[in-house]
Amino acid sequence: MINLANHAELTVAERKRILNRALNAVPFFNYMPFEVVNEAVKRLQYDAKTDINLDFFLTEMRSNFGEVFDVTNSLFNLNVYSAFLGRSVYGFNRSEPLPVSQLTTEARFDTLVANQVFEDRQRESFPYLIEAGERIIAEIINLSAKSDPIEAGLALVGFNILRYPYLNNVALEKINQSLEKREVYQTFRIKVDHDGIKFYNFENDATPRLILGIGVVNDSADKAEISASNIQIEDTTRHLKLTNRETPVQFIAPRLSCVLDTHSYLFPIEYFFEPFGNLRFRITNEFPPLTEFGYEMVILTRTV
Amino acid sequence: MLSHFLYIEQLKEQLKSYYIATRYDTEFAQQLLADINAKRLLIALDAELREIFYEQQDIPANASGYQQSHWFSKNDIEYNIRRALANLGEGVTISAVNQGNAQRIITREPISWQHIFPNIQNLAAPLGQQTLFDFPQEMLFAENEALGLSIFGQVAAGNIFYHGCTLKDEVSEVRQADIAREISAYLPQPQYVPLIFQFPSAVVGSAATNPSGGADIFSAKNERSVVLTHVSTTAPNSRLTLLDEGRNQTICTEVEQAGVAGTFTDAFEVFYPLPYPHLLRRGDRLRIKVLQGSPMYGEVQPIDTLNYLTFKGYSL
Repeated sequence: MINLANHAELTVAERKRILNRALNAVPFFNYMPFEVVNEAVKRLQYDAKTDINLDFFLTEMRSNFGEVFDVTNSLFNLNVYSAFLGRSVYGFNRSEPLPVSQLTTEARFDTLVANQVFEDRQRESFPYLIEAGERIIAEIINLSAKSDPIEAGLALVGFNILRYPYLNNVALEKINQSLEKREVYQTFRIKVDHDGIKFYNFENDATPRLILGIGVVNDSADKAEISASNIQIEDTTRHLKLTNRETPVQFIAPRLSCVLDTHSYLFPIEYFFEPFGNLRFRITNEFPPLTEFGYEMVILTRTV
Repeated sequence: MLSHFLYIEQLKEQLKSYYIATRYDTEFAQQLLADINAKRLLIALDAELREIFYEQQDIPANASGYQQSHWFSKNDIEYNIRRALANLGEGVTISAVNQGNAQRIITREPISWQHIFPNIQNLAAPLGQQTLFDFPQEMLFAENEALGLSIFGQVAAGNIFYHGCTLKDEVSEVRQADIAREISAYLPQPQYVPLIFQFPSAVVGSAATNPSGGADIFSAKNERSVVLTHVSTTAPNSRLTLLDEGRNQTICTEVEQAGVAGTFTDAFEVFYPLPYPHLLRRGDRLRIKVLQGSPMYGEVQPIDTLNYLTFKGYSL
């Protein structure tokens, strides 16, 4: 993961190399929702498709089937393959469903310490190229006799390679100034505590930065009290989208409260946050009845 | 974040850089590719030289709680132990010594076992460890050396699971050239190697079958060699014999699956790292024999349900 490339003692040459890849690529979250309905059958299949119109390098899959299990007590198998080539994205020479937990990182939402039985690490696999124009199909098989209706989701996490890297004169000048100094880590924070749709802006100053990851800490440790939240991320300066649609927050950053483990997911690739740039988060936040607990969101950055 | 296989993690990052560099600087991309291939060769040769093993040591119940002379050794061959998982009582202490021509003391005083062994996973509290840790340094044993343990305070039966490898003397030049040729032919991709089985009977000790009911449980063949790095299971209440048919290598014999593979807890991901990366050669298959029931947990697996022992890795 990118923390290996972005450790504390970087040479200028290493920083330039990382900057080059950040200028030419953008992290991307392809979210595919499924509606799992209540059916008393042994095997039930749901398909969802995502169209990927740029070369997309898949590095990780996240799902919330642990969450679904908590609610429905249903287990699922998953099969993810490309429609045109008919290849499994995690290929073992044939396309066959595997237990969902063996393929995906759990998009963490449940905050109780007693429920932290699963591994708290973020896992990444080797990049798998999904070519432009390909369609990805995810097929879910319900292994249990029945399940309550619930929305499940799968996020394909990875990066796109940009056709035209964007770099204006101001950014270039500021990059050169920044490379003369040592890199500095800095966090940006927003507090999400509204009901309904709202836009939040992460506004950069004159310093070019790389965004390394996003973290979330809930305001309450009680799952029933915290809000359901979906976000879309867009860079309004560079006109780039980082999400294909409204994506539940936990697929981008683990939603936790006070437990002492991973609070942020690293991006699949560093994102170039240009000077005076603006990263806009469109957040649909819904409080549960009678409570108004939101969350704090932080992006982790370093200067280039 | 510490990684069990740092080289492989670095390789992933280099590969990302390479894919992106092909779009803006082909010369730099070629340079990166040369570095990547050199690293791949290094990892592959290292995996080819090591023959991984899992061994289970049973600690019997003893009313006095004082047990000496538990030995672990691989006969007539040098071996490394990278880590060991334990299923021991909460207040138990151990003394460890490398017993050879000269005694090399590992613990100066008896210490709580939790300092050097990760805890086996439990489905009830304490939950045990999903994230294994290794010994501070891998332990090297010569042919005539054994790991000796004295255990204090263990009244009930317990277990220790050793994760390690023996070392081959050499890899032939033909084999080296074969690996190098394969590396230059394509780039690494993620690979899963599952072994799928089910239990027709709940009788402890009865054998699992493949999904069609046959006795042979193999992994699928692959046209590429695969470096296996992690393993997870959905059947912790069973015992596993694992063989690499192509290399004619027995990796473990009747070891509790929970001592080998991360236990899939309901629906959440848990993988254990292998002791060292294992090279599953092109066209080769893994084969398993699985026995119903876990004496350690005192449980059996449900019958007629597909179970998955899944290895994760990348095509060489």
